[in-house]
Amino acid sequence: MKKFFAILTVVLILVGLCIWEEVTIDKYLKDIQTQSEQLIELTEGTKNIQTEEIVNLVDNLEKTWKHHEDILCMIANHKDMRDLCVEIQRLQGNIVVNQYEDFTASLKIINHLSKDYRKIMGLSFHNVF
Amino acid sequence: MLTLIIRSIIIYIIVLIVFRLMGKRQLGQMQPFELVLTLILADLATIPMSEISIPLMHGIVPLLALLVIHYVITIITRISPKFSELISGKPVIVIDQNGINYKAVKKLNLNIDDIFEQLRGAGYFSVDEVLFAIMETNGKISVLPKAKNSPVSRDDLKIKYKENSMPVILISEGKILKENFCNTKVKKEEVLNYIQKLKLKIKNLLIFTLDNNGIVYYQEMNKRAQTIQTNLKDENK
Repeated sequence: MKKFFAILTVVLILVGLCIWEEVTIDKYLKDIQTQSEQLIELTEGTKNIQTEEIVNLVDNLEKTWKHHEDILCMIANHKDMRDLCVEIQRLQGNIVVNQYEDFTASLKIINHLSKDYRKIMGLSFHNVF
Repeated sequence: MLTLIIRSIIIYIIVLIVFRLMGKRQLGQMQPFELVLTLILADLATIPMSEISIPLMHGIVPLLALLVIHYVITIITRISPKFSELISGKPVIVIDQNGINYKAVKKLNLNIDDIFEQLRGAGYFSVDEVLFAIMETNGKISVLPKAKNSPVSRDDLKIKYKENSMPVILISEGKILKENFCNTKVKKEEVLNYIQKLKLKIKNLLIFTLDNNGIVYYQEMNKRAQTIQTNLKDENK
């Protein structure tokens, strides 16, 4: 009976961890994706990326990332997360030198990676096999 | 570096818990599915231990999942003999009255040398000594010798004998094992008085055992062991 309860506890821990992982990855990466989409929309009409609005949004994106990074590294491979981190850091540098092309390229990569990781990490038939 | 050490400690503790929950069978006679599990567990544990970029959870979660799978399989094998046979196989008679059953040996992917090796391990150097040999599901051979090669027992010789008794360790390496006193009917004070009578110091005792015939076996550190017949009797046995 003691063993049964120990195994039951392990099962409950596993179920809890799986749900937490699914929810966390989806929520956190969706945050990054939404913010990157906002930035893409905003930069589509203009070639000047040194506006207050864009700078604020990039700051927010960086803050959001810093807030989520530790938890995401607990769940996902650190190397995968590093790619996303590098692109987010690049945005600030591109604003300083007003590099529109590099800025939009980085935004597209961030958007793609955040979508892609959710797809890779989430539960699906393709991921199982 | 410190991260690696902490990760190793965590993984070690979890693997230890997993093995404890899997039961003692895991360490001794392993069934095929248990062997597979042990191999996977060993590999799973080492990857996140040495690779910092892999979250520790990627190692812990599969370990726990395998523990649950193992538990479920063990329960099903207990309930269903057919499932047990499917997972672990069934014992196969490799030697019978007609000699070696070569068909069975071939089916087990073994050769005659393997059978002889196992027989010698069991203490039989000739097939002629063996009536039956059974290859168990854990890969070991159990041998039933022919009557002429069976060891002679006291019953065979009609010798009167006293039943064997199990000695209980009461003191080990200078420490009194209180739990073992609970398993006997001998009072702790009685034993301690007896030890005083022998002018022994508990901290100097390497071992002190008592069986239900009142035989005490003790050894002091760096001294020779002694066996004494006493009136201390564990009547529980």
